[in-house]
Amino acid sequence: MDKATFSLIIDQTGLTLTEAQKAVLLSAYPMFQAMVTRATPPLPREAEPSVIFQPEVR
Amino acid sequence: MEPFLTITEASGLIAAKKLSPVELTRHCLDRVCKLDGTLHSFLLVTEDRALADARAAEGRMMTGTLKGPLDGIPIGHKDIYNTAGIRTTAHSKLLEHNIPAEDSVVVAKWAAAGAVLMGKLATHEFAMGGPSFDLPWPPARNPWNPEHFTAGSSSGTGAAVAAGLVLGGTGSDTGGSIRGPSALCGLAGIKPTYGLSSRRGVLPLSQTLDHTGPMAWTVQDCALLLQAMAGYDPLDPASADRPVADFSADLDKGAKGLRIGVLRQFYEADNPVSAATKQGIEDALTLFRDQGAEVRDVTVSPMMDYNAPGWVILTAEAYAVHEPWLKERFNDYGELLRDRLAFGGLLRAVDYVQAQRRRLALCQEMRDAMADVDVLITASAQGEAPKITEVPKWAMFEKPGFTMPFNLTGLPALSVCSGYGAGGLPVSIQIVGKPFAEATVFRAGHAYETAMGWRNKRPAMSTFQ
Repeated sequence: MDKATFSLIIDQTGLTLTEAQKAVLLSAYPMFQAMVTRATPPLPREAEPSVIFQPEVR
Repeated sequence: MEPFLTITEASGLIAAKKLSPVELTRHCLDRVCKLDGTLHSFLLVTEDRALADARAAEGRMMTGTLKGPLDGIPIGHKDIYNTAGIRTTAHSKLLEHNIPAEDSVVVAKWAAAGAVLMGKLATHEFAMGGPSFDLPWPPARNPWNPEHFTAGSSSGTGAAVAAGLVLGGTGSDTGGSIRGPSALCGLAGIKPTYGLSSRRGVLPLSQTLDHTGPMAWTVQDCALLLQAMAGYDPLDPASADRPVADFSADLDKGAKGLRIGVLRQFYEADNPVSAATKQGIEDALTLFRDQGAEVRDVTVSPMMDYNAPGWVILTAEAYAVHEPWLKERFNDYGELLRDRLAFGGLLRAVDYVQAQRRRLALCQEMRDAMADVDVLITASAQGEAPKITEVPKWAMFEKPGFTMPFNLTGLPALSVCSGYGAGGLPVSIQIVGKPFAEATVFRAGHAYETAMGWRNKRPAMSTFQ
């Protein structure tokens, strides 16, 4: 991802970062994205999440 | 007085009226004065409170009304546990002057058990961002070598227990924050089953991964501490409504008859450990076999498959907790934490949901892998502690950690010292149990620990008389 595109997606979060702070995050972004990809492999359509809504609130 | 006492030893002496809780507390306060200028394990020493607690315990000792094995025992709390009227900072500028109105549930339970509150202990900022040198307080140092890392995030508890400044303390564990410092500081520390011990009143990091738990010098002491913190809390939505087991009941049964699975792939292939760590594991397996346990290898998905959804979930949930402050006070966080948290803003909703779906599949895989064993053995850290100035900011992305798989699956996991490496610092093993089978985990850990003799050695800097 190029610097301008990364800057845009950071700005979309609403965080106010300096260019130097954005550059630090951009340097680690490929590792972060690789981890996200590994965490989210294709799953059967009916696969449930581990967090399930409970109607009885306590 | 002996320079070091375990909780079990001290409570036995107090029950026999051979040790004054006030004398023990003064002894620990004196050790704090002598050592903590180097270790930085305390953010706040509550000397007046400690002495008041100790005098109350001494009164109960004299009248034969002791509350149990924690009565009169000096302890400390990680500084993300709320303490009524006592500053609770998360080691952060954002909460530098925060004084909670109420105790967290665990703090209240230990106080009710008679424990002596020595103070609040250092943490990585908000239990995620360390070691940091740009916070209002310095990071805790490892007593085995103060140039080295304690691991975290329960860094102060690791340092203070190892150096004998307190006899036990609280940690919290979202991706390994109890077991990491227990491993690198040479302690016993357990992340119990998710939901066994209340999180209420503990500053959250990631609600579906956060656990509270104890750290101490021995497995036996951890069992005593966990006994006093476990139990159903109707106001903690994650709390398990079930009876609490007697965690000390099986301690002396030994390993005979236990079925032990070895997660060898984690420490041989996925993140190869140091020679000393590997030797420690092999020695443990030999010991268990010699005691009559059945040992076999167990295989699951690669360790990174467990780490990746863990970190996606953690980052997303932590970002949700911190977003208002991140938007308004980004630069009041330390650099490490703010940079790690900022990635949470880049996750898509579907990433979080998919990670939670993957999590359930991995929980099922681990359950199946444990169907025919009682506990799993693997490493709890790669090796000895690195220098504190050489800890990578993005370590969690670079290599899979040994602890996160059991936050993701919620299983009880205990780190136990398994010797010392080439640099003279501790190495460790990790013992993992089935849900709510802490007593079995403690049984295996105690059998190993008492047979090996590693508990006779303390950090050199702390061994003055």
